[in-house]
Amino acid sequence: MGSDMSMTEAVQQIQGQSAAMTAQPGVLMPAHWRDFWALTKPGVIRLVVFTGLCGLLAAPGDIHPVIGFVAILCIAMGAGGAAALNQYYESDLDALMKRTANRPIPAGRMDREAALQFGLALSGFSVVIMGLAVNWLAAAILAFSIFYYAVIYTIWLKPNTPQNIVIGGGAGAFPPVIGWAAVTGDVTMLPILLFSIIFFWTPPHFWALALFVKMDYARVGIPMMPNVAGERSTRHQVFGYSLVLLATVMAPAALGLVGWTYGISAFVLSAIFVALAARVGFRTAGEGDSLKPEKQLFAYSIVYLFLIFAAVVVDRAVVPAIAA
Amino acid sequence: MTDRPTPDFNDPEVLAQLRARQRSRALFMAGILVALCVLFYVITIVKIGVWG
Repeated sequence: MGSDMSMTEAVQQIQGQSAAMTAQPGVLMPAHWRDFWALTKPGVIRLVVFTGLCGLLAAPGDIHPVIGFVAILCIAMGAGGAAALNQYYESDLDALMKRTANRPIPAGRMDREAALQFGLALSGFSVVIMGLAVNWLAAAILAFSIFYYAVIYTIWLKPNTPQNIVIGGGAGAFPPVIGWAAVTGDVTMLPILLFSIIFFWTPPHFWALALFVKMDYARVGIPMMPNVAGERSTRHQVFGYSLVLLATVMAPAALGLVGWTYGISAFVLSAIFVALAARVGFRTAGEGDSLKPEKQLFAYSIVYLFLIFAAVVVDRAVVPAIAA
Repeated sequence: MTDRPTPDFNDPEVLAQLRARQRSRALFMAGILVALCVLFYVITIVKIGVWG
């Protein structure tokens, strides 16, 4: 009976609150936890976690498995927090693009303020835990990467320059450096090259996507390369960056930082990448074109990055372990 | 984003949906907090050298 009374009181209290809430425009149902999960861009986190793990496994020295797990967890939480801050800031634009209109904020399933609080909490928490449990160099790089993505890329570069993806690519390139720093406490040439691989991989990867969704970006006024410099110039740049990427990917082998297992794998994978980029770079898409080469390059570029980083780990960690 | 219809919390169905959503969020948050307690405990054990 007592519990019935308290339930009734609770319902009355909520109804009282709801009367006030209905008077406020835009007050929503509390967001479902799945929407908070979606806010972290789980698809992007997968790649971030993988490259961070590869940096950690390729680094010389030992790390306790629990501390290694915490480092990767912090990288994932930091990336999720940065993604939430990005969606908080870009919710107006996301509502206008087909690709992003169903995200939690533009779809009306979440309040913007909730996204901001969630993003800040997740970001701050990931940096503090990384510092306390792993080391403060890894924490500092993680903090800078969150700032780079949420502020430098999202607020400054993306709406203002067609080079947004080129410079902004740095934001996604930090995880292997953080993974490396988590083990060694410093940053040497190989993690910088792993950073450079992601940095130079981003333009051809993203511009391949931009070529087949360019109308979305044009509609919201984001200065993506195909809308600013034109399709022809973008195609040439996709090919140009694929050559820069080839040189960067081969650099660790050329400098003797990795062995032939990586060298051969990287060369074959990059040759395929350059061939696909050349197909995109030197064609003209007519009206109603299915843009199949662009879609193939975009899809391959994701597999390519996974395989390149897997090759680094196989070369640096698996092959020596088998040989020992 | 502010032009969406505001839920009518006087409607019992909406109220039930609200309570269900609050419940699921509370359980999710409880799960996160328990996981964090375990994580902090394990980190501490590792840091003080019990597991080498």
